Amino acid sequence: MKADYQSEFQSFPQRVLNYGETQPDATACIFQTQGPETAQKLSWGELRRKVLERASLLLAHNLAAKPVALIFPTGIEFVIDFLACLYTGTIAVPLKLSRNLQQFSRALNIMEDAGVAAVLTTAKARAFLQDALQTVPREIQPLLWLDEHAVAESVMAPEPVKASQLAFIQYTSGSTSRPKGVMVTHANLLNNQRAIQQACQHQQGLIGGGWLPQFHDMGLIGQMMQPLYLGGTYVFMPPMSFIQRPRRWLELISHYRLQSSASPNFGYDHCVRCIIDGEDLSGLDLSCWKVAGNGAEPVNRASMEAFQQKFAAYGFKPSAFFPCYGMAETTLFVAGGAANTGVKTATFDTEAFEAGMLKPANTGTEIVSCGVISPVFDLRIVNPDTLEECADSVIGEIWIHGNSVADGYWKNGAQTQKSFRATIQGGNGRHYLRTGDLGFICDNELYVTGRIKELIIIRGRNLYPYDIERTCNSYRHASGHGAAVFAVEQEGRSQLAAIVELNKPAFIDGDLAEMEFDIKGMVMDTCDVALDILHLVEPGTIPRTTSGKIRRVKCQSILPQLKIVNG
Amino acid sequence: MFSEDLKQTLVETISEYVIAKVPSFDIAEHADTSFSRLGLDSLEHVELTMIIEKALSIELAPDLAFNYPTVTALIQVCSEEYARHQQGAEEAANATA
Repeated sequence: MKADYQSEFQSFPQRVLNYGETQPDATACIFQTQGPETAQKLSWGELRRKVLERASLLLAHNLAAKPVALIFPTGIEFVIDFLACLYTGTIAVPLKLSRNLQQFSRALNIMEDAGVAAVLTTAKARAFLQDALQTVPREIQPLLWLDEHAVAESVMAPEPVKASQLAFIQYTSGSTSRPKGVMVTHANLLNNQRAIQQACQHQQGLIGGGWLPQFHDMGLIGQMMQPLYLGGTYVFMPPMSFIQRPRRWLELISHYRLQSSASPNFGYDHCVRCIIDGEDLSGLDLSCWKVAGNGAEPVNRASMEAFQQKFAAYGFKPSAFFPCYGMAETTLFVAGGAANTGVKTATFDTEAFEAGMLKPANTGTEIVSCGVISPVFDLRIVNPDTLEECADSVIGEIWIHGNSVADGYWKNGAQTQKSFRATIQGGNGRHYLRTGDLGFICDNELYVTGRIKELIIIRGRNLYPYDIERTCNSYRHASGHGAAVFAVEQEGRSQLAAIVELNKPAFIDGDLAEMEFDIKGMVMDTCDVALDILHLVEPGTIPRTTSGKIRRVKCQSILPQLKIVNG
Repeated sequence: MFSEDLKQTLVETISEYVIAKVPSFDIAEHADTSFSRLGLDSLEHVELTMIIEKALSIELAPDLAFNYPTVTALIQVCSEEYARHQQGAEEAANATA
């Protein structure tokens, strides 16, 4: 495969620009904020022309091989600028357009970590961001801002990109303490596009898309790039429009005859919960929807069943469900499908399962398959302590090797070494990515059972407990070193819980209800996530190890007694 | 502006929604407490506009509750939106008449 790249490497952007010549009148992108009357369309010919224009602009500013932030509201502008970056070898760093100052400072952390040379954005977003920058109490290197009004004075053509060159940096979380930027190469990108196509059985000319944000790995690689890769049509809408009215997603699929559209599990729940029975859905026809991806957070069978029950009458086929597994560190896709087979589960003896052993049983613990492991990977189940490969019937950490596995974390050698360069004890000497996820393989399908890393996943978003703990600790009445944040599974959904130690006077005399509001407000404003459960306690309540480290797992077990005390 | 009745209905609709997420919510005490402080997440902020849209049969910007983040502020802005919508409907009716 390596030799293949060197001999006849056609990069992703070259491939996309070629469509502009071979099928200039076909539709490349459709973006709509609300109904079809709000749709903006772009043909392949126009897309090509605009990408070339922006490419000249990037080259004129000498940005090739430099990291550049892309901060856009959902829209076609992002598609054009992102492709222009790929084409010129400019390293794209897609970021979320923040809503408030606290969140913008997280984006700034990432921009600082990446060392961006410029910010690509829209004039409107630029005005907002530059205002926000004025109020940030820290020194920021003067940045080059390029919005839609910036134009290149002359046409410039870039050097063709090489397979080993970085295409973009995907930041896996807006982590305040240590942002981790996954370095995705052009070779990774192509390898993963092929893996997705193969697993989903997508055809050339694919009509795909949905509501996922463009800065998120699943929205970027799966939803946006796959239809572009296949010379099809990328049809999309702003995430907020979906949240506000989930039927708009289904209407988008039905109206434009989308064949493939994905969401984390909560999106399917959201449709079931918020589209009320008796709502007029006449005209909705989901029979075109062949691949309904479900990934980025654990797949819940009950959610799938409820969705299927509700929308079967509108042509939705249960075989379309396509649970999948992946992460930014593998570009995106690792396992999924097989296509047209729907949700599959396996059941194991509960007692053995809890001890990490697999004993098939008729009743017991049921696990949803995350699908067939893509043949582009060598995936192993490894004991995370001994680093030896696990026997077939044992649960272990998921380790991955393959051409979709990224180069590592940007400017973070230590973490790259730890996560991307693991070797199996007594194994083949290959480098594996340690995913931090636990699971097992059964009939070449991957089952994910939990996590060893303290990463929390809420609605497809990765959160690190210490970021939220830091915010809690910074509260003026907190003891400053006693906060524990962790996830609790309730009714098949991850709830975010925090225990925060207050200083003694505040705990005794303070208004606890008011302080709970303070902390919830701070966490929402800073981390953009809500605490479902919050307990304020006196110093010394949080379980620690002898060396003083917080034992988050143990924290879960003291929740019931806190509930009795605190109500 | 809309009638007291409509306003009352809206207060109840919003309260009912918030109480389902935050059992300790009390409209008498928390009408001016921000939704973030009460513990609503971003999805729930957007859902608030969804339930108001249903109650008033008008379209609202999805990020409205972020910019008007308390019950009082949200109801105020919704009453203005509602008035604008009514006026628009009236003008349209007059134009076609």
